[in-house]
Amino acid sequence: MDKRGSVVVIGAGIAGMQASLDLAESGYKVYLVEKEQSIGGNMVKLDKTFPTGDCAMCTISPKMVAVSSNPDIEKLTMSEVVNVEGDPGNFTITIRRKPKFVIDDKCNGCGECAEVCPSLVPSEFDFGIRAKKAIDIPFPQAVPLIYAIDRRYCIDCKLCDAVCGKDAINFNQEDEELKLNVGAIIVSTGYELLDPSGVEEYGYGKIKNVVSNLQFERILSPSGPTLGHVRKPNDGKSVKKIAFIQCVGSRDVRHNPYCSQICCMASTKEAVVAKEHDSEIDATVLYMDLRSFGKGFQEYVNKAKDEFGVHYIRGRVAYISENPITNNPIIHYENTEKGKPETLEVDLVVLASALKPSSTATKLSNMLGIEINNHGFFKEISPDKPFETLKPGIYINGTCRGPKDIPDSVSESSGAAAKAEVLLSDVRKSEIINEEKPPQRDITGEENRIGVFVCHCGLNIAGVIKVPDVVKSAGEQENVVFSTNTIYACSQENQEDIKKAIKDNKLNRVVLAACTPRNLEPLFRKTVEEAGLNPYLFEMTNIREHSSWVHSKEPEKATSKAKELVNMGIAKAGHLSPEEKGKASIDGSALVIGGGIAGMTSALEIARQGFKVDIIEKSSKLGGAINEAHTLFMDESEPTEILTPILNKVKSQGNITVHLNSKVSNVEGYTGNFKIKIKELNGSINDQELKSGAILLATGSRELKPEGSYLYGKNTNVLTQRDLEKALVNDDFSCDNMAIIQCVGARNDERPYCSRTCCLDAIKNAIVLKKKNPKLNIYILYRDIMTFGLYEEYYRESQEKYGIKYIRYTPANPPTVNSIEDKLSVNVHDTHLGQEIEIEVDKLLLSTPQIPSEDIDELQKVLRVPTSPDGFFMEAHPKLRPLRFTLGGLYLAGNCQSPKEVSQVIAQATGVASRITALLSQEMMETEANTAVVDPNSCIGCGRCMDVCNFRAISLEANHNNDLKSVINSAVCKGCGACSSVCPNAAITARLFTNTQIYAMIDELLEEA
Amino acid sequence: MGADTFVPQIIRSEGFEKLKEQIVDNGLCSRCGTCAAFCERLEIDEDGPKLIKECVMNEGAIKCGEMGTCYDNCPILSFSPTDLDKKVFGEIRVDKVLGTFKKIVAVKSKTSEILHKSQDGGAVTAFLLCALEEKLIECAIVASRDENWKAVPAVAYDKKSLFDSMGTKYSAIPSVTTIGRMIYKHRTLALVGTGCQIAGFKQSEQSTLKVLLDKKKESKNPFNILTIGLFCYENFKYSKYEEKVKDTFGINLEDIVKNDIIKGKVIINTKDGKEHTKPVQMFNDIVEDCCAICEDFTASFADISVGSIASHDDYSTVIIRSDKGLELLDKAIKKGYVEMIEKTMPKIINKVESSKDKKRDSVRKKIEKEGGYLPTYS
Repeated sequence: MDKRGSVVVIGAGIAGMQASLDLAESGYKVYLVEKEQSIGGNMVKLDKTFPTGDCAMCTISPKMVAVSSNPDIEKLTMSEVVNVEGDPGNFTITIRRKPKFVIDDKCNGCGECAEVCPSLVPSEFDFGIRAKKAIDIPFPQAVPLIYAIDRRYCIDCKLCDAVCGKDAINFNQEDEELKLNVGAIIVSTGYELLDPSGVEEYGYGKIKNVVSNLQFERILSPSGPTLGHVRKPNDGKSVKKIAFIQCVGSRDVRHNPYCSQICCMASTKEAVVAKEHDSEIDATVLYMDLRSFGKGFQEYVNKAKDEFGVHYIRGRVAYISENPITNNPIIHYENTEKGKPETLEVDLVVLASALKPSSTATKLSNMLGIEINNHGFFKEISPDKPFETLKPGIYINGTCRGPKDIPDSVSESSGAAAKAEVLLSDVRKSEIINEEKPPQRDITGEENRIGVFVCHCGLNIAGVIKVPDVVKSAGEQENVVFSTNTIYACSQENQEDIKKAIKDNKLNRVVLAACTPRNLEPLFRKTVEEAGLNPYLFEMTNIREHSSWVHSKEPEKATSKAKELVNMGIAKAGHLSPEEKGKASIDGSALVIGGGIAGMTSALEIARQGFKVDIIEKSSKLGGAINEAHTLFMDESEPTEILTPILNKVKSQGNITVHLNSKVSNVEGYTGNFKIKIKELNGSINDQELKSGAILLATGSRELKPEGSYLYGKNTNVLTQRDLEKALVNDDFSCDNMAIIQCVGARNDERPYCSRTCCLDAIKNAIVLKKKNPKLNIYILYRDIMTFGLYEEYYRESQEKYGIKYIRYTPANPPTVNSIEDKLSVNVHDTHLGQEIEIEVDKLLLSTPQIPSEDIDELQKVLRVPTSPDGFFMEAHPKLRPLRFTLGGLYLAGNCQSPKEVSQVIAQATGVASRITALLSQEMMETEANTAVVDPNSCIGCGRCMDVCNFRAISLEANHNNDLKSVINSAVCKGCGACSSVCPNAAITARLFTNTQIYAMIDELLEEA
Repeated sequence: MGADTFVPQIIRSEGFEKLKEQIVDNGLCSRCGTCAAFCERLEIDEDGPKLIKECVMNEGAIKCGEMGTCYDNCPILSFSPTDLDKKVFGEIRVDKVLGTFKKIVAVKSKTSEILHKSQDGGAVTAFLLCALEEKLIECAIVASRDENWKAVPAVAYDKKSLFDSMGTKYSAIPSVTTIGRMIYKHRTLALVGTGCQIAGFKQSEQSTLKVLLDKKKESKNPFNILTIGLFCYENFKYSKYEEKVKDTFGINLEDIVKNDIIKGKVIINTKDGKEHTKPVQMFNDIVEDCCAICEDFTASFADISVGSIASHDDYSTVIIRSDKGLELLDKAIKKGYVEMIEKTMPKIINKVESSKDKKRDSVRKKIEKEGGYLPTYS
């Protein structure tokens, strides 16, 4: 059986996109199957993402463009899987593509068809609250940017066909089936929102001013129906008072018993964003437990409360009625902090509707022969194998496995990609496109012969700017030997026209006046290259965004501006010279710091793909924190169940070298080429020097020992969770009455963050103890129970099946503990009962947070990587780059980034392996042509360039005369030009933006003025 | 993308149901075909438009055009002729019946084949022939008839197909449907039609087609749609016509070779070479209600309107309304397709029009009494 070097990824949300990018970068052909018209999934529907408040679209858009422009990712939108056959390594998968009635290769996304279309229809992308045309794209940044006709609403007027300048409309398109042979399948079908009309008491669908959370995201979005103004559906007026209701269909046995995990934070963010739009808005979040369990979550909630004045009411909503006069929703709820019913009248209610599996999940599971759980989410084979299914070669990731947030989905998608990569590592690069570059004409000694193309962009440019005038003015410029217009510069025909013009007129510079270079410059460079010119002899001038769009009301001025812009482009083009991309080798090995479960998991995934890995472990044995655990996960499995197989695999894996009792003492170099010094702590071995292409930090965390709190350290009956587990391992624990206090040393002023795992640990250990001694009384004193996602079931089970009692306290009224003889007396104000209670126990457990490992400062210095305010390492981007640092070649996974449960640690560790192998598998790295270069004759070695470089691309090195000279590493340089602008002696040139070129542009402009 | 994309704030279109209630079921449909011009979910049959597929408004659409692509352009529904005048000609008519015009002339074709076959001067065919042969248009939407004298829309691409369709027809046909459905594949066309057809199409140009036409205005090949209007006093219900001809003349439709209405008389030429004449009043009971209330005798929104009234027997009366119309007239003269006599304002046209007043009043009263929708044109 032939193994295939290709993978089908089902579902093109953020998870599927990331998996596709990982796979393609690692040398696998990807078929990305998406049922909707555009890739992007649910994330593109969001207005902003927390905690950074970045625009979601701006964050995800570069990834979409990356997917769009990657030739090894075939985008199959409006497609569904209809059949799957075969075995790991060689599956045959049948895809059905629905017709767009628009020809992919012809449509250039100009949108004129939508303008003439008379049929206005509800946009499903906006959950029905925005109107779009029957021929449309779901959102302006859609990928692929191809319009599609929704024939349900089409009246066949064919005006789209009449207006289309590209003849791209085809009303006769039919369903199309295609068969793909692939080595592996990754399922990332994501989630859908529960239709809140099913939760009848909230009046969704009946009361106009009740919307769902994703509808509200669209209302907040600047590209949404209200252009970001928070308006009421009933009369379109501004919203002044708004309430967010949590757990709509979640944690509700009538609908979904599980917690949807993301809503508390999403609603908090929505409240903050609404207040940012209009500080007069009064926002209230009604919740059961505020699940702020992830990195930076609690800090964000604190900010919402303290800085933005968002109100939080702990209350369960009974029903919502409508004020018959104002149409305002009236929320009837029980304030569970005060224990009494209350009402709240607002302008708008936002329902945090439950996440549920994609509607296609069940059908797909049957087709693939993989399991789903009782909620319909895809099921992994065990918690320590989070991406694997019953069927080898088929992997799952992201929210199709259960509710989770964006960073976790992104980590997981890399993890699933890693699994496929391991399976197919021997056929890596067998199906990707290897493009041969055409030979380049030598233009040395030639006079400048510039060709100018001015694009109409349909009417986008030509509707405002007089294109013939621009063409004429360009044609009169010095050295311009050819000047023409084109209706759509990006069309395939025009690429041929450009090539022909270059050949016929012996052009050696090309200027194109069209849209932003951001999207299409690579295409045109390629065209120029195919015509035998160096691709950097091309200059693009933006007369659409920079002129016709922004000056649409002033056509005369827009035309004259366009002329000036084009003439400046021509002036610059005269000084363009052929440039080459550089190459840098990549050392095909990785260094993993930390030999715990994270480090070992990553090391194994990397090594299995044929790369060498060194594991550096400071202690005398591998395994890290798990070594001290009594039980793992919520199923109380023994740590050895997962530890022993991993240890054995690490031992037998020939590509892994383990360095115990060792520390990294120095790191030099850059992505692909690090030099690392290792110090053996016992001094028995001399310092070693290693080389590696990538470095992974997996240094874990440690439990806070709350010395002095609640008699800890004074009374031996007061233990932390780890102390308890140690005692259980040694079989040295007994008691009849026990209390557990949550959030000891966490979620306070000193340590604002929630440690994510303590509630889970407390419940797990409580169940373990109850199983041992059913007569044991356990009281868990908590603030908010953080049993996020599917863990909610254990919370319910712990009460219903094991009779564990929960008592809620507030931080204003924390419990007190007194020692009375051999007993402990715990006093607490129970908010449910509204009274003080006293519990006598013989053991008191303290759930304390995970804190950064003691050597984190040292590591930070050696590796020069940042930490977050919580003291843990800080990833490059909290949403989309959770597994790496800003600086290239440096990665992180596991608890050193923030506390997390073991299964999530494994997910991250597997994910980061994919990111690392994507780098290592490149062997040679192509560096950009726009990097800066130093003229050593002019360089005075002052080092100012080094100081301003944000990428550590510059070093000062002594030359043969022992003079210090600036040296720029092109593999690291991003071409920002900062060095060039500070150089006092003009010794540094930013290629593609040289001083000569910029001066020529300025001169041209001033001359005309 | 404006704020008006917020669905709760958008006023929904009424769709075909409203048109059906106000016009079709009210007996006012002229079967001009405008409603179905841009909606293939509608089909025009003997009784008017019918949905052959669910209306998009019932499928959950929010808007189809403004009130409905079918509804927006219907020429029978109330509308303001002065508004449309302004949009089409940039000025408001002085004479209610004649409409806006540049000049009124009498025209006669110089092509003998045309004269031989036509009523009066054969101006319409001559103009179309000129437009086709001079490449001003790719094709023309005209009325043809089948063997039962039933008028059907036809598309003439050349002299032959044009000549095949010659001669006046006295039952309405959905020509606007034909042109609407062809617009995606042609840029230059001519539409020949009566007042309602021309008005329907011209209204479409101002609504449904507006964005398209504006977008292509600056393009290399903009749309150029020439409209030639026919004077129309009234039309007969085709379904009743066969029976009526038999009753009044004792003639079967298949024996007829020519059928004209001239000067208040219905004239029928039969295969045996005989000519039969009856007063047109005898046909009053099969006149469409919409024709009775119609106030656009001269097809006042066309580029050129043509009729037999007010000119000598072998000439057609021609009202030139637009630059486009003037251009065609000049070309037709220059290239020898027609000859022309200048005319003064022919009062007879207004007189003929007003002869319909009594009938108009009685039909309006009837509708009022029945509580049906009563259009106004002011």
